[in-house]
Amino acid sequence: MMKLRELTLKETHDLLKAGEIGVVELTREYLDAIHENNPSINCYVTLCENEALNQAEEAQKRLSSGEENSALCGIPMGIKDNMCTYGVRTTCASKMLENFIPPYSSTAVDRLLKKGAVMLGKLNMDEFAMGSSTENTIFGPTRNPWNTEYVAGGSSGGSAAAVAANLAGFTLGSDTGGSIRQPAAFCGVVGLKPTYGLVSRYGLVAFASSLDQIGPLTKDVTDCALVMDEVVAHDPMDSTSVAWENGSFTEDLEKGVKGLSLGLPAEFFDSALDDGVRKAILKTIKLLEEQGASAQETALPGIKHAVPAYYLISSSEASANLARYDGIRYGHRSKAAKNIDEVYRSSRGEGFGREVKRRILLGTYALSSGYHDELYNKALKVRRIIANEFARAFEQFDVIIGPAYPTTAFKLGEKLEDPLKMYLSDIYTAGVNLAGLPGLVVPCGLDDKNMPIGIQLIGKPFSEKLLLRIGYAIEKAVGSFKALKNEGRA
Amino acid sequence: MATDVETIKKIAQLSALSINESELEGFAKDLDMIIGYMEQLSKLDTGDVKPMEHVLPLHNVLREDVPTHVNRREELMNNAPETANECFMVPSVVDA
Repeated sequence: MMKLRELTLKETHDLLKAGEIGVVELTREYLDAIHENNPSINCYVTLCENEALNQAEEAQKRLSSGEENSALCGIPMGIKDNMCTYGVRTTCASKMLENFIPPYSSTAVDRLLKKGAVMLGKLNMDEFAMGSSTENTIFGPTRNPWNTEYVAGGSSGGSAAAVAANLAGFTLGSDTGGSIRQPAAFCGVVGLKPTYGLVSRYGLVAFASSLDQIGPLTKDVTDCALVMDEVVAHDPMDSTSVAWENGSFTEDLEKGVKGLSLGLPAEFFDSALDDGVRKAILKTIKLLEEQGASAQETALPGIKHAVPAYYLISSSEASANLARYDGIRYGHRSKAAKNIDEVYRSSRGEGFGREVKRRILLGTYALSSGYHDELYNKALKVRRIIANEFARAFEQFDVIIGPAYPTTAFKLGEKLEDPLKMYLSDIYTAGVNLAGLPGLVVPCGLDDKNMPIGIQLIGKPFSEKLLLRIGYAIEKAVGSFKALKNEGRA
Repeated sequence: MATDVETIKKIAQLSALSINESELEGFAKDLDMIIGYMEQLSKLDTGDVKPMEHVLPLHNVLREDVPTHVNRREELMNNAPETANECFMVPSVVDA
């Protein structure tokens, strides 16, 4: 028998609305499954069992009375642990915030809760969202549900794994340089990094403020559009928040790809790209061409400098953002500190993990006198060059299409000792954040190890509906997440 | 511009970050490799391109000055590692 938690958000909503299933029963099924499967996947770091059941009862009342019609009402969700949740521990997977209980909720989470979504718990991540494998975490690594010897990707690894293992109806992640899209690709789920400014960052623990963006991870493209419909709104609490005035994210899904032009940047298909990934991406593009889209090679030469520019800018911003952790008002305080200077230094030294320290050091170095112009300012200039190249490409193409990551998921521990190697693989994702563009990842096949491959669609600012429309066509042509999963397990 | 142990000590000082003696060598090696790679940018001719701090045109956003999230004193204080008499506690900062 089909389990309720294997249904998509949309399918679940239809059954809830028809009264064929109840929210409490649904929530219990998810909670039971988490108890059973989380020890092997390790996607949840905090479970909100009682709160979730209370929210479920409340949501059921609102659904039954017809007071709330949102597709998200009564849907169990998981939230990356860098989004503040009122009264629920928010750790950023860091010893620094291990016991931090936010006195307010982030706008994104608050909007979903108000629509009746049920929060099952908080999800594992790389500490302060710095990493690509969800191995830099005080809770131990998240494992890929497709094969637990492999990483789930990162930094939103818990968010991707929870969806892939059917341990949440949908999740929220955050993406600073690929942190939604890469784990989505690794776990075979849909992940969207929206245009910068579309989802409020209020209450998102800041990593690199000019790049951070919250977005959904879902079982299919329709679900992604449904979450976007609720999470996107102008927020006066975020001065970079922009208003969306283009209607529902679901309305263009079935319009097809006929007449659309796809640009394939040569830099996305160079020798760094794994052959299995390349084959699946090109095959998917062929399928879109068969449906009337046109594909043509193009060039984004600046992309080869995206990784250094991204790491210099994001680490510089992080070194400033993380200066707030001083061990005084909240966060870890060193017990050994004897004077105020030691409180700062030792609390930070003990509270931050190795990768976070590495980034703070890199950022401080790039901003320090003598290197500011040569490194930080230079990176900002390269950022504009990359943004301009994308803008020119969009004069010719509707979307840019390519891989999200050079390989499929790698094994736990495989890249942990070589930080530069880990950074270099962000080549296809980081430029999108530098330019503030939307990027959608949709599963498009499996490699010879039966691990999922994701295809990435990049559009001009606020083109989310177009990306979702193409993503929907890919899903129809390749088979949805469920079909992919069945294939993988066959 | 190689980053050695002395450089790491200096940046750690600027970052208010204590680093164990045993970690200094490792960080020096990592940063030397990473910054060495980043330096490819300095060879790039960026001409008169203006630095891009932000993708959106940033302007001040004003709203009515209405207090929200009020009466959360206890919740806020509960997050502090050390408090006394409803105040944050720190080691003495003035010599007696």
